[in-house]
Amino acid sequence: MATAVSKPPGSPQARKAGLGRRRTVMALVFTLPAIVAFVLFKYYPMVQAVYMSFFDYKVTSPPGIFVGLDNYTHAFRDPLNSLVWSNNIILFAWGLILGFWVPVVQAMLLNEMRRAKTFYRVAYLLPSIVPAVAAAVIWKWIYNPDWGLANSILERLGLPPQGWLNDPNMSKFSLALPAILGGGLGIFIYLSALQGIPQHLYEAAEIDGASILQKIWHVTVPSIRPIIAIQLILLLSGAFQIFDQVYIMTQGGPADSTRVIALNIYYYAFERIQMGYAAAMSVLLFIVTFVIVAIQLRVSQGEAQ
Amino acid sequence: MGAISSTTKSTENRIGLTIVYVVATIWLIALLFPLYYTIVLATADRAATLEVPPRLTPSLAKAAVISLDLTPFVKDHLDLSRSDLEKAIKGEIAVAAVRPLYLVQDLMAARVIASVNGQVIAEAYVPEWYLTKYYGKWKNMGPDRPRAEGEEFFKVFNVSYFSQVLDGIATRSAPAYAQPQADSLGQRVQQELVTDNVIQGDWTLQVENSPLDTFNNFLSTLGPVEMWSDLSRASVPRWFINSLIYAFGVIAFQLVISSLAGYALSRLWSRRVSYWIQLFFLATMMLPPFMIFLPLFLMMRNFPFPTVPFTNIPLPGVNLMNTFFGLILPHTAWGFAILLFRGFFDQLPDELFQAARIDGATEMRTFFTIAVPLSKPIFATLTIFTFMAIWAEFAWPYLVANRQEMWTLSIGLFQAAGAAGSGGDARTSSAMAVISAIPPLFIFVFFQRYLVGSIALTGIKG
Repeated sequence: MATAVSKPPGSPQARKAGLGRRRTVMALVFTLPAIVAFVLFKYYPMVQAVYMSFFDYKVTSPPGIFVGLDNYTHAFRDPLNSLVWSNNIILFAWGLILGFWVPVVQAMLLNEMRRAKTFYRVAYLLPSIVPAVAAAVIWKWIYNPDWGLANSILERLGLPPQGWLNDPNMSKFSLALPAILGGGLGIFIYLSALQGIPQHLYEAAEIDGASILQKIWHVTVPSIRPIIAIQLILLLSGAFQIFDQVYIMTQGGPADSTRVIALNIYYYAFERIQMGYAAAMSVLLFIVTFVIVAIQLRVSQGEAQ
Repeated sequence: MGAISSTTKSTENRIGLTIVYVVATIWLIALLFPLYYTIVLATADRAATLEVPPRLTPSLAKAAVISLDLTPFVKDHLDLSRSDLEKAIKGEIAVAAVRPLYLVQDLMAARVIASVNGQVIAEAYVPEWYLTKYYGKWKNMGPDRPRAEGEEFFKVFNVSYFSQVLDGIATRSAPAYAQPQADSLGQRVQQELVTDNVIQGDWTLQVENSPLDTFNNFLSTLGPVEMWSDLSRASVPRWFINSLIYAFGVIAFQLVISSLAGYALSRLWSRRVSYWIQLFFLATMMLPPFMIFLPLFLMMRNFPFPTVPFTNIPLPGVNLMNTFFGLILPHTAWGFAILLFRGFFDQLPDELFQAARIDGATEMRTFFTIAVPLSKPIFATLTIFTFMAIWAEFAWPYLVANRQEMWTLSIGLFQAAGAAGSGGDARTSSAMAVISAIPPLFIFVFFQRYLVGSIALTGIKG
């Protein structure tokens, strides 16, 4: 009772107790730089963005006038915003139709190969080496209605020239079209999944008399369904964040037809200097992204069962 | 092996595989075509870029070589002093070199071999991109400008034997070229020189293929680049280096911060605490970039806090706009990197670390002597991912680096290409695009063997 349970020094228990405390201290030391970085560059800005959204934020004399939820109600009422959000959704739809299936099919093709396998894999990877900015610039030239490659190809095929990025009805389609060529790192995610499919599944299907197409439908596709689900969610959340390509290719497009959310936020924050309103829109964007990711987690957990 | 190659029926197998290869090859050609087209543009001369329909094959660079006999010119100007005569001769040579370049779109360079009394007195080589550097957008390009600025061209591209020849010492014989054939490029150049009768002296010329000049568009990126209304103040090499420093700066920070945190999560914290801390890191991955760009932008103007948070009391700070730290710092926090390291350290056998602990090594020591050397695959993987992401990044540098000297290559490319809207300087920008693809190619080739293994480690498959 008088003496506390003291551990004689040098015994295993002492070492473990001392180690425990020391290990915790070291764990903190190791983790601290990351925690500081994350708090400073992720969490604090996040909170500040929310904070800013409740003000008519003045950069010169922060935080400015408190306006409560006015920024949000304005965001909901402004017809420009419904145009902007629908732009993103339509862009996502085109991306889905034109580009989502491409890496899957290309990975499947690569998976079938035996000879020259490495050559094709390296070749298909080449587009990922070109920086996105360069690709955007290149496509902007290709789409040029006067001297661009796209219209000259149409001409050779006897089709009428199009406005591409300059045509408000075509601009989103044109933005999404390059995805149909495919290539890049996405293929490799599918490829490693495809390579994980056990051979005997195909053999069993063949014994059951399945044709090639049936094998693909009943063996290949179900096996990679989790990856497809994840990639789909990534595409969806990516479609809401897109900025670089759109800014470079159309700057918001003819008649706001490619004015996407991120562009709108940029415009209000850095050209109209209405930081509060821009912050409010970015918070709304975050909420939508959060919901999407939550759905993804639910889906992938469901798949795991 | 997939559905098709596992087929045992040999005809189906063969037909199926043939289709696979045919489709894959056609798709590959289409896929690589934009890259090919960019390279074609990057090696084109001015005429090629103005061709409608656009040219699809690389052009062979052509240079005009003019043999200029200045004997009558010298005779007319005997009253000048040696140095004034030298200046006047340089002026004539400059005109002879610049005019064809300016007026004939197909040339990539011009060379003038000037002679007096049959002996070569000077040679000038002027690549077409040099004109952009000195004459901006080709404005006010009258005959007198090159004459007056002849010295400028001679600073870099010349061979001269003024004193020897004027003193009568033989150097080497000047070439004499035959009349250019009708309807040839040579004849077009000749007609441009004849018009306006600008060049004094007798001359003959030929147009030759000049393969080395094919890369002139790439060389043109060494000088200022055409922007919207002016030449740029900084140049591509500067932007290239900026991008390199930016990329490797981020990589360095990330490797240190993420490896330490990943190790702690894997080996130092208990499972439960680890789970929550990791969640703390990973949760940030769904933050929209633009949501945090706004506050980060304000933060960089007066780092770390412009005011006491949530008040308007100003605080002292450092202005990190247009600095490398301003670019690099926000990227030091990347949840994916910590995930990579954590996953990797989890895979290592416990015995490695127990042995060190029993020997009494400190955690730091264990980390540096055991964990780090083993982490090479993850270091390589992270380098690839981070490098690709930063090298291609546009939005954040666009916000933070608004002075031309601090631009990254992406921003420079965007600005140069914007000015190329009319097709005028699509060549320099395509050369820049090709240049911007080279470092990622290197990094990828160098580190790629670590890539496939590491993707499996993160469990992305599951």
